[in-house]
Amino acid sequence: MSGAVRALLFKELREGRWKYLIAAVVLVALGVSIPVTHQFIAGMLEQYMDDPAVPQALRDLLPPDLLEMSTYLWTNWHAKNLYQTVAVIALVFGSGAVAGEFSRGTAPYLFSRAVVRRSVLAVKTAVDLAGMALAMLLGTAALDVTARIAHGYAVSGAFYAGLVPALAGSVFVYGLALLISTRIDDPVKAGVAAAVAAALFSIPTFVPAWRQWSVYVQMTGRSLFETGTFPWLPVLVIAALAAALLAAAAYSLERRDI
Amino acid sequence: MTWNETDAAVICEGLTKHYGAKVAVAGVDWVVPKGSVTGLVGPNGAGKTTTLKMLIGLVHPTAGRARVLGLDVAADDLAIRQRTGYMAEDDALFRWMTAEDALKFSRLLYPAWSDQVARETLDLFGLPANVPVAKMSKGMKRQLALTLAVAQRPELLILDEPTSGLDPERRRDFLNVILKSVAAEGATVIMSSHQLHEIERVADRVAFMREGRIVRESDLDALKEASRRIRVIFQGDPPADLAQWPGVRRVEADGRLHILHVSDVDAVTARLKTHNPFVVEVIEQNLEELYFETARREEERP
Repeated sequence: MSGAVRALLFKELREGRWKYLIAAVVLVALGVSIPVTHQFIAGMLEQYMDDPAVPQALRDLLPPDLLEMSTYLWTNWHAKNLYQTVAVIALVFGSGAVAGEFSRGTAPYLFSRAVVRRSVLAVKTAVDLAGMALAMLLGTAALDVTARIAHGYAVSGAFYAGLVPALAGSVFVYGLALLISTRIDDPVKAGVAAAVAAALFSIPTFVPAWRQWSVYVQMTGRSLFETGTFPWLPVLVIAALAAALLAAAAYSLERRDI
Repeated sequence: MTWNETDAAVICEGLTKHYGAKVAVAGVDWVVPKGSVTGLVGPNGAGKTTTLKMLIGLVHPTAGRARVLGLDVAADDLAIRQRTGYMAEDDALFRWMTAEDALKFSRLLYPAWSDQVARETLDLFGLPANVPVAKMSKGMKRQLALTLAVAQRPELLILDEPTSGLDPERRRDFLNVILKSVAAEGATVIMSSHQLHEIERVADRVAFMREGRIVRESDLDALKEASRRIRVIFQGDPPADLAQWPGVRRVEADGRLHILHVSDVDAVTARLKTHNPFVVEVIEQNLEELYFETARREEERP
């Protein structure tokens, strides 16, 4: 590892330690809360189902096995909280990565050091993604441990395998935010612009015929739960798109004046 | 004089930078000799900072080329930064870093880094090692930035307004560190500043920049020599052909007082003395006067 990369790692880890900690705490808290709230949710649903005021058509929308532990944990973790939370985390991390240097006024100092801009971006990306991946793993482990303690239920390996499509999707969102961050020097404005761009990519989610083309749908790793098959193709496609966005961000940073 | 890369630390040829329709730097041709201390002076918005940023690879030229330490700024910017210490006008160090952290960070980046130079400079400034930048005064931050720049043991030191906002004592220490770096390492220094007396103290060359161009560039002593004037008060009428004397470029008259702009001070002084004037004295121009003279000349240029 070169001296420049070690110096940049030292900087990024030191600067980012609180945000990685907060991301981990948020995901661990979510991971713990899902198994813990199972009984509460079950009670609410029973009340709901017994309420004659609720139309039958609405009751029919609820899957019959919703409260079965495996379904309950998957739908609340991979199909909802995990991908939504990591998408937001990726937006926050990505939009602040370069824009943060400009808003703090440290960009001229950083980029006039003996480092290449690509390395700066690569180290920022690697450290942020490692931070996100660790937070996701800790959150899933927290869900696993809590489910064992509270319900004596051990989650399947699919829960951990599901982290891969979720991470691939979060790299895509991170790349989108990072690209915008190389052009807008205010992290808040960059974050808003990135959120708008990320929202545009969610449009296929709401069109039944296009759902399979949605990054966010693929982040849930549905096939792992339903058939136990790993979604190789979606993961590879999302990873390729994410790599293209990261390369575009590197090119954009390389071209700009500081 | 034609410069080659072994003599010159910086060679700019038609270096240009446009920001949309605005021309920040308009074709700078400039050579900075190795081992020199060059002052870059000019009004705000003259293009000094943009020019210096192009030399370090922070800003991409729109046209023209520049070679720094024999390397092309467009192709070899990393190698240039490894051998160049740069201190920006509004250098914002990482706020969480202490001086100790900053040394640790910089040590990893520069092959010629010297802990000894860093410690000596920190001691000279009396900078504490464990106070974060966020809690440092502006002067302390500038001192730390200069410490980091000289401890790289750079071949070229580019300082953009290094002493702005510093008190006189700190400015003196600052200039001493710069001069020490030059003496110890043989570094070339380019220093932009509005503090003309500081430039005059440390620089041996000066470049005047105006509206994106270097309009005058010379060895400082030679420039002063060439711009010396003679103040003379005649007892009677002055010689009728005074303005035509060999070596006299221009005559400004105010009654019996005459200011002669000359190219050969000694010869003209000797000839003036044969006319028994009341007073004959040679006037040296300081850099500030040269600065304003250059500005006036440029304004009068059609």
